[in-house]
Amino acid sequence: MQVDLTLTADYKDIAPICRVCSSITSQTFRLDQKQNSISTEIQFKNEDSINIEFVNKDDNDDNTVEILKVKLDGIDLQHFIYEGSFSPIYNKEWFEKQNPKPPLIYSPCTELRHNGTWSLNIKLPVWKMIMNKWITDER
Amino acid sequence: MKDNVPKLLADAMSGNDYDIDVITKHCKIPWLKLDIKFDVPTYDDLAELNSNTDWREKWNYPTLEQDSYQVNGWNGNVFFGPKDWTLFLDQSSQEQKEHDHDEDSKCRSFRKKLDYGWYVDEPSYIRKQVRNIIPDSELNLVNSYSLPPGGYVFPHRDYAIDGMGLAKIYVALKWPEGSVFGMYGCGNIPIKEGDIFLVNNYTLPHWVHNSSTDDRIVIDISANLHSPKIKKAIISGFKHSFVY
Repeated sequence: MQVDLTLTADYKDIAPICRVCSSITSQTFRLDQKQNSISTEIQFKNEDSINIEFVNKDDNDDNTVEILKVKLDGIDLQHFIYEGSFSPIYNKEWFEKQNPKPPLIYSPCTELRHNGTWSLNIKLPVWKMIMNKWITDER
Repeated sequence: MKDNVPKLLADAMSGNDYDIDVITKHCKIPWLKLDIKFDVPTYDDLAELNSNTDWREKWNYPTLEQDSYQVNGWNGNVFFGPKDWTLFLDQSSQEQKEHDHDEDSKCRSFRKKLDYGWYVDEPSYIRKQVRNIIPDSELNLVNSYSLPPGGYVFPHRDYAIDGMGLAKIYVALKWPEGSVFGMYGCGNIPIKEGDIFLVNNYTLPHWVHNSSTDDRIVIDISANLHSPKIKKAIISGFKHSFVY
C-alpha cells in the first residue's frame, strides 16, 4: 500500500533517521530536509499498525522529528494521527536523573523527542476505518 | 383475557401513536422522503438562489488550507435566519463545545433568544414556497446549497447541539443526473429533482458530488418539525417506508 508521510526534522549535524514499518515490511529514511516528504510502499495485514521508529536520537545534537501528515492509500488520516501513541526508549542516564519519571507512553503525541516508536493501529480498507471512527465518535 | 394484561402493556398498546420526536431523534433513520413539493422554479427563480457570498466566510469557519481537497465549489446563501448576524455568530462562538456544530443546529439553538427573519423580499420564490409549507414562526434557517459541475463535499459527519437526528429538510430544486448524496453504509439517497427529503446528517458520515455538467441547487430548511404540514408529512413518509 502507498504510504505518504510528511515529517519535519530539527537537527544541527545529525539528521534524524526513521524506520517506517508495519508488521510485515519496513523501510528506513534519513530526514535531511527541514520538511521531508516520504512516499513508499508498505504491506499491511487487514488489522495492523503503521509505526514510525526514531532510531538515532543524539542528546548533544538534540535532533527531533515531528509527524505532520500520514496518508495511506492516498487518504489523509487527518486528525486521526492524534490517536497514535509514542513509546519512547529513554536514554538510561537521562531517565535516572528525572524526578518524577517521565511517562512510558505519550498519546496524543506527534513529536518524537527520544528514540522510540510512534504507532497507530489501522484497519483495512482505510476509507471504511475512517467512516467507522466517525460513526462511533462521541458528541 | 384482556383483564389480565398488565396496565403498562395495556397503555402501551392502546396509546402507541406515531411520535415524531421518537421517529426523528431516536430511530436513527438516515433519510425519509416527504410527500410535499415546491413549485417548479423558473430560470430566474434559480438565479435568485445562486450564491454570491462565501459560505465559510459568512459563518466564520476557519479558512481551509489552499491545497485542501475536502470541499470543492460548495457554497450557499442564507435566506432566513438570525437578523443580527454578527450578534448570532458572536454568541454561538461562545458556546462550550467539543465539536463545531452545524449551521442548522446553531440556528435552532438561538431561535428563542434572538430575532429571526427573512433576508429576501416578499415576492421572492423561496419565501413563497417555504411559507406554503411552514409558517415563519416555525423556521430556524432557510438557505441554499449550490454545487457546480465537479463540486463535492468530502465525507464528514455533522454534530448537533440538541441531540437531533432526522432534522434537515432537503429540497432538491435542481438535481441534474450525476448528482450524488452518499450516506455511509446505506448507499446513495434516492433523490430525484423536485424531491423533498428529511435527512439525518448527524448519525452517519455522508458526502455529496456533482459529476454532471450543470449546477446542483438544494434548499435546506431547519424548522420545528411539529409544524402541522411537516409533522403530517413525516408521519406519512414513515408509514410509507415502514408500515404499508
